[in-house]
Amino acid sequence: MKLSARSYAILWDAHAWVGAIASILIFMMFFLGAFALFAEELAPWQERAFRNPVVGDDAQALVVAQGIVDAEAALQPSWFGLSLPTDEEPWMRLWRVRGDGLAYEFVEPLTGARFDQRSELGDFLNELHFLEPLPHGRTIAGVASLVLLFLAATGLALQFGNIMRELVRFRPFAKQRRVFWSDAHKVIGVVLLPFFLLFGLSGAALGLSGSLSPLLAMALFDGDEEAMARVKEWPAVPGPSGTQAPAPDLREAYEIATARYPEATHRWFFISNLGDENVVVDLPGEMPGRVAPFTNVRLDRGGEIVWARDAGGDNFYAAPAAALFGLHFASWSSLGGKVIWALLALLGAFGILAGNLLWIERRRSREGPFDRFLARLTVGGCAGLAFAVAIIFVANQILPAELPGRSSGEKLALLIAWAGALLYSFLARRPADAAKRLLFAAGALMLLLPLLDAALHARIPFDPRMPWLLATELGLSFFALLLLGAAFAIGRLAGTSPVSASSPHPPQPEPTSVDPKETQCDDPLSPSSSW
Amino acid sequence: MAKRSFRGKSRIFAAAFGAPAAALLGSLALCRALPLAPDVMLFAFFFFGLPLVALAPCAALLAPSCSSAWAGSLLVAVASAALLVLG
Repeated sequence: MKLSARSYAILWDAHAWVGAIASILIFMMFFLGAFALFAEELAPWQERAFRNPVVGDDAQALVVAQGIVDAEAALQPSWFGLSLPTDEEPWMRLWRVRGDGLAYEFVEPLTGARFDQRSELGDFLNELHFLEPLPHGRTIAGVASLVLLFLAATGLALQFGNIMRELVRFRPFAKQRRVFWSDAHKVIGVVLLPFFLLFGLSGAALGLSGSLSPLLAMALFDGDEEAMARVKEWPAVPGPSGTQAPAPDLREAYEIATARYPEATHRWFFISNLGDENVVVDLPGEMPGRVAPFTNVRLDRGGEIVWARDAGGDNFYAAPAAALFGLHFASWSSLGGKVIWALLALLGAFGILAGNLLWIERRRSREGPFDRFLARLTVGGCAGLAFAVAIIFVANQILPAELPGRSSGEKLALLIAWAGALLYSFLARRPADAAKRLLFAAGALMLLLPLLDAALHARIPFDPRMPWLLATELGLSFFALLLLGAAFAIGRLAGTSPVSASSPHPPQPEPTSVDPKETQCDDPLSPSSSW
Repeated sequence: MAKRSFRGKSRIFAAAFGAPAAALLGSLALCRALPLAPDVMLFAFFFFGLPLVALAPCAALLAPSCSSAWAGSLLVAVASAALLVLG
């Protein structure tokens, strides 16, 4: 099937314009997705207290947990969550929803000692991945995922007859940078097409399911939200009765859930209506090695199972949705699979970036205000984000663990660094210089992080006896080398411009190695040295 | 020239807002109208309806004219709304 010249031109323009407009947002989601995958594994790195595992077992932790929920019952939070210690997070985590929103706290599982000043580095990068700090951020992330689907579909339509060629054609040493960015964009687009489709669809479903829920209930379930919740296999919890009641028995709940799903590990208690007669306890379980690993057991105050959910879901919607979301979060995998997912996410981010750079190169000869703006926004948005992520890791190290508002300080550091990088990218003489410096600074900071941590905590860096820290240090070092490599490559690309703007030689037209169809929609390239 | 530019903008609006909204309503109406079980209905919406919403702008952009892009969007939206209200 071949597109007509008109259809090709329209879809090409649509792909290019929509990509240019949405690129920074989608880049950000992919780039931060690589960090979001390790939100839990980052805990020992970001929080010093987690570096010294607390010796104890679940039985002891459950005694402390029971004391906590007994005391909490008097406060009647609308929702209360509690986690048992894990390898990467050897303290217990409490979540509490009351009138003023969600609050976190950590508890030492042997003594019950609490502390509320903690780093939220991993969680914050995960929230930024979903754009949650923005008003209606999750919905915006859902719309951005639809845009990703649109870009993947139009890209596929444009390259439909050439997929095999685009899969293998990469000319990194081509004279003209446009060829390099064009090949990079197309090769990554073709290789990662299934990945883009997976994340576009799962991201749209995750981002929009909340905001579309009332519409879906009205249109498909005659307004019966409970019926829709049953199909989604997460039935609603009854409201509080108003009659006070003691907290449920957590040990008993834990034993019932473990008996129901012996293969699953149960580390969380999610309690609704705590302190009320209508209290229910949800115990999500995780079965390692499955694409859709999550089970759930819901108990009432008397310890009766009121609802249970098998791993993988058991209806025509819940089963594929669980698999889709399991693939999105790489919950099917151990650390190795997450690393592969993170590398694919970074490659996807680079493919999106390559599309922007291709746009900038193609329009070099007739560069308008939007093109100049896009070039600088790409630098500030993308290289600036890498710099800002490096800064939040540094802030995590430098800010004292007991500092009030430490978590807010870390978040602020990231936002200020990103804003500063954006400003710098617009003030710098050449965008390429700004990109090179930001990437170099980000890479150097990340490379120094293990040494900084070792110096601040009087320990040997890359110590194999601390596997979670070692994994983080190796990940950060690898990422730092990627950023330094990118800074070096940009320096080379900017420094070896084929034709200078002031060169006596006139710009050469695009060689025939570029798809002649592309010239239907754009003028031939006129390279210059301003990037 | 100004008329042409207005048409261009109008088509972009049709692609950005009209067609996706029509596709959203159309997906809901189709899921509702077909004799599907509730779980299949929800599956169809999330796995086929949402991609349809993402691809709807292509239809508006490829329509022969700006007015046909809007007319198509409105027709689908009105028919779908009628199906949802009356069905």
